[in-house]
Amino acid sequence: MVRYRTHLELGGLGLVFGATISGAGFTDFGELHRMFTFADPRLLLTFAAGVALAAIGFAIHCRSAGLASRPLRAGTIPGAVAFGAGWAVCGGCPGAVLAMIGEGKLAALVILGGILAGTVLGKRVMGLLRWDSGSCAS
Amino acid sequence: MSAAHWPWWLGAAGLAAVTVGSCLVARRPFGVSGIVGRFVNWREELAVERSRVAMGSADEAALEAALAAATAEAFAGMTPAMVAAGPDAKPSLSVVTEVAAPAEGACGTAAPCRSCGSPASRPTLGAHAVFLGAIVAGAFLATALRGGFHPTLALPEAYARLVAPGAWGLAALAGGGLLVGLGTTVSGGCSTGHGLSGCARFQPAGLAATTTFFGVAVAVSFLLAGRGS
Repeated sequence: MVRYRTHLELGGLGLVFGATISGAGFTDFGELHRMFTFADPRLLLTFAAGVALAAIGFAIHCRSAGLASRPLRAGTIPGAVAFGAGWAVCGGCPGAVLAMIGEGKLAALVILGGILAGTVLGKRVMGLLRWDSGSCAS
Repeated sequence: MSAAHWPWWLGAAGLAAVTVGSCLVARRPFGVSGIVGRFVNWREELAVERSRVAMGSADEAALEAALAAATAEAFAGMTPAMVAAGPDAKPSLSVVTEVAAPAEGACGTAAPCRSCGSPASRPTLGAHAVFLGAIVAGAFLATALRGGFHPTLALPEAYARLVAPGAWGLAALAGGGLLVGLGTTVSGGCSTGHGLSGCARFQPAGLAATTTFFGVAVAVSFLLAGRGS
């Protein structure tokens, strides 16, 4: 059981995460669009308050965890531009797409295919440009 | 606000709990795109895991002796005993120490990653597969509990109206997904890695990336709204 402790803990966190982004509405294209056009502040408030609460949690619990710092890198901004455009068009960030599939929105499988292909493409681009994203921090 | 969705404070509590909880469990920042990226490179990831298991099961003294022998071999005139003797041995061991450390401290090697600085050990691919599967299961449970689980291949109504219906809509989904995968890989994070974890830790990359991707998403959404109206 000890051997699989991390599996169980991450499984629990995954359940909470999936339920949260589904329950909050990050998997709903209409809700997401209303957040991005400031028509409804609820999701924006959810995200901002989540960041604030997490900042308090990090200050209390993770100060000594030795977490990696994330400085700006060559790909940080260009990558964020592509991600922002893609997120607004398809309505799915990587976590939300998995949650959409769990909700039975099977068209999200098309987004997932796109994300996997984009990840492969991204790694090739990074290799060609000799950029380091530091993405292994996850 | 849709009555079917959680109030903002409940969603915020859930997001924060997972962000901080992941830090406590995995001792590294939370980020879904990085985990997905591991599965794209699953062959390399498995090879690294196997080498870590092999290193972990080896006798520590035997490993040290082998390392000293290999280091001495790299420097003519040094014996394993000189290497093992510590910094008082001649020539200076500072050179030897540099050679003994991994040349490119990458994730999964014995040294902390020189790219991201994260500790060497991280959850296995299996543990991360459980995490991704649990996201699907968690969303299923939340949907089923509110009585809304009705699997469908159809595009959401708002999506068909604002982006495109039918085959063009599916093509736009694939194109959007491609941009998400490309962008999160090049940027080194997504709305969780940069947005939640990066911003909550006041990381420069997290703050800059979140401002950028949110700003671009706002601009694109207003463009879509202009087309749809």
